[in-house]
Amino acid sequence: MEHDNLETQNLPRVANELLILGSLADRKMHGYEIALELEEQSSGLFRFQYGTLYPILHRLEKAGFIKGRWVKEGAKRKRKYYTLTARGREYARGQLEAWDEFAERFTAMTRGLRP
Amino acid sequence: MNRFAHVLRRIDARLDLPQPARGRIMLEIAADVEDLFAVYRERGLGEEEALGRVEEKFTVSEEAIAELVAIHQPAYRRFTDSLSAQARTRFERVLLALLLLSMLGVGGPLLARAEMIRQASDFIWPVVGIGAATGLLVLMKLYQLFVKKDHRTRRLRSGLSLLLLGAGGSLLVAGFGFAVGLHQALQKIVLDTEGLWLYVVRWLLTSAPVMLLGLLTAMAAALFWLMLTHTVERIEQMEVESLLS
Repeated sequence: MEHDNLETQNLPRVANELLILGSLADRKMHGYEIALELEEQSSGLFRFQYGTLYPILHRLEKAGFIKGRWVKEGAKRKRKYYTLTARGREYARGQLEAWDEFAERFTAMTRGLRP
Repeated sequence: MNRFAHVLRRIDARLDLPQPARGRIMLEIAADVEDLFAVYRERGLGEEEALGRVEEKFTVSEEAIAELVAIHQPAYRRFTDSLSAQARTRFERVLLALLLLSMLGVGGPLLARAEMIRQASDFIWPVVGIGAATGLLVLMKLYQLFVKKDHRTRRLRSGLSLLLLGAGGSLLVAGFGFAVGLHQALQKIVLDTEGLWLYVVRWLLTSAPVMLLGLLTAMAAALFWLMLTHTVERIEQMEVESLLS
C-alpha cells in the first residue's frame, strides 16, 4: 500500500502532529487539555511548551485535520474545543504507516551499533 | 483585573495580525491559561506556585509567534484588510455615502418608473434578486449586531464576505447583460444597417436600467460592508481590551 513520505527533517513536526491527532481520536478537547494529557500519559516524556502547541493546532485546523469550535460557557466565557475530522484520521493513518516503516528501517540500519 | 494580563499582553504585543485572527488567538489562550491555573489549584498547588507554573508554560517563543502569524495571514485577508483599513477614515465613508446618495437621486426616480422596468432586459431580475438577498443579509446583520447583540466570535464576521460577493455579483450580471444586449444589437445592425439608430437606442433603453440598478446595488452593498466591518472590528478590539485590562 502506498503511504505518505516521511521526511526526516520534519520528524519532530510530524511526531507532534500525530501526538495531538492521537489525543483527539476519541474525544473533543481544549488546547491546554491536549498538552496536559500528553504530558501526563507519557509520564513527562512528551512535554509541550504551550506556545508551540497553538501553531500546531492552528495549522492542523487550517489543513482540515481537526475542527475548532467555539462554545459559549456562562455569560461571557468563550471556549474553543478541537475535534478530529475524518480527513485528519486519514492523514494520521498515512503518516503512521510512514512512521512505522521509518522506525523499522532505522532499527535495521543501526543494528550494528547495538550491543 | 485578569491575573494573567501581563502574560497575555506579552503575547498580544508580538502578534502582528489583523482582527479577527488576533482576537481569537488571544481569547483561546486566555481561556486556556485560566483553566490550566484552575487545574493546578485543584491538584493542591498554592496560588503562587500555580501562577508560576502557568506563566512558565505559556512562554511563547518568537518562532511560535512567527508561525502563528504566517498561518493566520492568508493573501485574501491581507487584501480585504487593506481595503477596510483604507476605508476606516470618516472622509472615505462619507464620500462613498455621498456618491451613493447622488446616484440614488439621479437613478432612483428613473428606476421607480414602471416604464423603465418594463423596457429593461431580462437581466434586471437576477440583479433585483441579488439586491434583495443583499438587503436581507444587511438587515440580518444589523439585527444580530445591534438588536440581538449576538457577539459570538464565530458569528461576528459571518455573512460579511457575502456582501462583497453580492456587490461583485450584481456588477457582473449587469455588465454581462450590457454586453449581451450590445452583441444582439450588433447582430441586428449587420442584417439591417438602416435600423442602426433604432437598435442602438433600444439597446440603451433595455441595458441602462440594468446597469444602473447593478451599480446602485454594488455601491450600497460595499457601503454596508465597510460600516459593518468597522463595527465588527470595534467589537473585537473591545473584547481583547477587556481581556487585557
